[in-house]
Amino acid sequence: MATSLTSVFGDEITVYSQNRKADRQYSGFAGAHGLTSMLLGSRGYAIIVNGIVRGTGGSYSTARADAASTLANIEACLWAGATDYRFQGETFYNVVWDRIERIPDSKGRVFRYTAGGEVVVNFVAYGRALI
Amino acid sequence: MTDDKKKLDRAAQFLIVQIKKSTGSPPKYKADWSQLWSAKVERIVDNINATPSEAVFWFPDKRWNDQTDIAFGDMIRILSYDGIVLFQGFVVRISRQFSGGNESGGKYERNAVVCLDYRWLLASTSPVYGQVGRSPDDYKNFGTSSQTPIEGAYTHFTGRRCIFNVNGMPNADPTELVVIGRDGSQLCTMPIFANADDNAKAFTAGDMIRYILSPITNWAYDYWPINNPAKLIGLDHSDWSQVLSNVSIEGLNTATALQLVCKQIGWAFRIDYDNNTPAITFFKAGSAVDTTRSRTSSTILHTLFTPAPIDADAVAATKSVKAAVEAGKKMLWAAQYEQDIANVVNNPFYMGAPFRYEFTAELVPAWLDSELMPDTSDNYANLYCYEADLKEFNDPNTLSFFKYYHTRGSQFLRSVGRIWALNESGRYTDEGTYDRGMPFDLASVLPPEYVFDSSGKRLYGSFDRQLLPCLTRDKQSNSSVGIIVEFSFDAGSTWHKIPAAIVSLEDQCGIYIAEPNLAEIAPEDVTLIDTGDLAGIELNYWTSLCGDKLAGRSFKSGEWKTRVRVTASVQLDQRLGGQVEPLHSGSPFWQRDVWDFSGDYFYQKRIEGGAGASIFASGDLNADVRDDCSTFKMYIEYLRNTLQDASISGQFTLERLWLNTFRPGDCIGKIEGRDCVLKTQNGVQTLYPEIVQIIYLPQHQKVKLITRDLRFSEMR
Repeated sequence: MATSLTSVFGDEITVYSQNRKADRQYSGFAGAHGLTSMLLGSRGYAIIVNGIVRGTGGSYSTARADAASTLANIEACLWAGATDYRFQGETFYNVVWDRIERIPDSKGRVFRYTAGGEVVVNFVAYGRALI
Repeated sequence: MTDDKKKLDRAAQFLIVQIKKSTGSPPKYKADWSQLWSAKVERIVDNINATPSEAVFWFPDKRWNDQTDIAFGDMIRILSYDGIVLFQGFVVRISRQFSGGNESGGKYERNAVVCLDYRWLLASTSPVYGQVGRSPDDYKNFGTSSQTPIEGAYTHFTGRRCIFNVNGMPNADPTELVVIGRDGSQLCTMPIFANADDNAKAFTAGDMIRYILSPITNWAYDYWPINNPAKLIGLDHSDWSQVLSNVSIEGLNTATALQLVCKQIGWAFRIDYDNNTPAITFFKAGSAVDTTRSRTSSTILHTLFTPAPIDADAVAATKSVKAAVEAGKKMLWAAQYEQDIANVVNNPFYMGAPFRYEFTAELVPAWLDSELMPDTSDNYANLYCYEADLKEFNDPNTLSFFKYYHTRGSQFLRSVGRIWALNESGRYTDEGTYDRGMPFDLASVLPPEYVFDSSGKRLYGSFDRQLLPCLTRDKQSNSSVGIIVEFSFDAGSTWHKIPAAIVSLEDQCGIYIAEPNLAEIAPEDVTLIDTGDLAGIELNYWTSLCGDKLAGRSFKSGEWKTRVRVTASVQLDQRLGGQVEPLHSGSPFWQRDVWDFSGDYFYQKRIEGGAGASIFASGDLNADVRDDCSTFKMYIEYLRNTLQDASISGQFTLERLWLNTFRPGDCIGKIEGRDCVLKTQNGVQTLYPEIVQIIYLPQHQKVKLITRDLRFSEMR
């Protein structure tokens, strides 16, 4: 049973995947032009999740701590083994997560305090479907 | 996939690991293979001779401390994607590694398994010791004219050393042993040991291989049943019919024993997987000529390719890569090799055993005349005394005969009357002391062709030697008759073989009469001395010596009536051997070495006529006469041919993983594109560097070829 991506990253996510990249080794020959290449296979499908985390509380610091806690929970997926995920009817098989990046705004702020009293963090998670 | 090698863009080739789990001790195996999908092959090292091939695989999904389902003794095989076996062996090592790395990286964990092929199994479980032969109970009607071996019956004689053609003497049974399988069927025949007598036949090199690998001597038979070693590839070549002398494999293991025999004729062996079953293939090192592998051409000649260097027309050079790949050339990605004459031997000295001859010659007394003083008192009544009479004396030392000349005498003179020598070094020639005449000249007893060189010079010097047992063999025991000493009391007219305690001296050709009482040495028939001062006294060895002394006879002048002669063999100062010259050598220098085969090749004769004729020459006893001159030289020329070439030692890395293409023992003829010819000899016989190790690196999709010797081998 595949895990819903929204259960990991929240509801405010967009998900897209990239085609597999070829993994090649090139061999040259001393003193000569020309190469041969060796296709070693592919690097799996890239899975990219763009999302927003929101923290709430009576003050900036409280709301910030709430957002940081949510991000920490999301981070746990990095240590998980390969897992099948689904999103909007599509299933991604044997996905492992390489890294999660927090995206700063134009002023360099990651935890942004909004007029509504929320702290908002944009993030991108990079994963790879192994097969 | 078949034409993948002809594409500029190739696909990686994956290797498959399969396992047969072992149970029990000794291990037993299930019939079927199962896949180890999670295993990734790191490398396969394919070796020649006794060095087992090695395969290493690991589990990318396992922590270093994880337990895997792999156990020691499990059988592993590695196949190419199209099902061709590249390796089959046993788990012998489990390798666990990890590192936490540092700021520049280097973190890793590794849970790997190392396997060695069947040569390891032979080396570890199949020792060679003793001899397989027949006891009397392995015959029907043993000892009768209708004696016949019982089919399949043999005895393992652990008290005998496993030495083929020991000391050059054939010791194979003329009737081979029929080897019966457990199901009662006949598997093969094998040569076995027998007494080294006239009926024995010589073990050839091929016989030795068949013996070593026979179902009886192969202790690893349950795991590697070689039912008929004679059918192994390569053994039908005429080189295997060579007779090798004195090949000892006692205490070796089967793999090392095979290598020892192979090396003596310039051959080697590897393991092939025809029909996906491991089998030993023998091949002649460095002599591949065909380009297509077959049963009769188990090694082939390869041509590698490197593109021509960039020239003005770079496009053409680029095209040459494409054209070469599309033609299926074996593209060489990297190489390093050295052409080397440093270790060439093309002009060897070869040495067998020293020349040895059996002859009969008289000896000289090795004591001073003045030391022998006969007791003339009481009209010679005290001249000698028999042992029985000595018991009458309370103190026999009152007799000078006993005091000086009996072994128990208080002032016993050890040499007098007891040491006789050949005087080969002139030790007893000095007129002021012994005065026994000129040094013994071997030319006086040996035919001229044995003692003079072409210019007439003697081939020996005035050196002390030692009397050795006769070459003549006793009929009953089939061993040497030993050293024969005879006495004469009539100046050599008649000779007597008298039982007495006599030993051979170690520091010169001579004997020592250890008999306590010299008067007890007497001819069989009682005789009286007929002339001189001692006329009427009983003749024995002592009275005969006294008679010569009292008569003032000169030994040097041949006047002594007492004589001693010996029949024995003596080694001379020259050896069987010589020197062979280079023949189309790869080195311009005449590079020499001394090859000592003293225990293997012989030249020994019994003198059959003339002054030194052995007393056995006219008898019916055979002698161990040997003349290995021609066979020895042939063998040395063969060895020279294998050692006289410049070696090409190197490492050649192919740009793709060539599977089932190269085999150990194959040769590299040339490198196309750069027009590098790699032959190592100019002449009628052309040799090429042979591949002695192949390293498959599937993770890099490369294969390395190591040629000639292992100096460049990464796996040493």
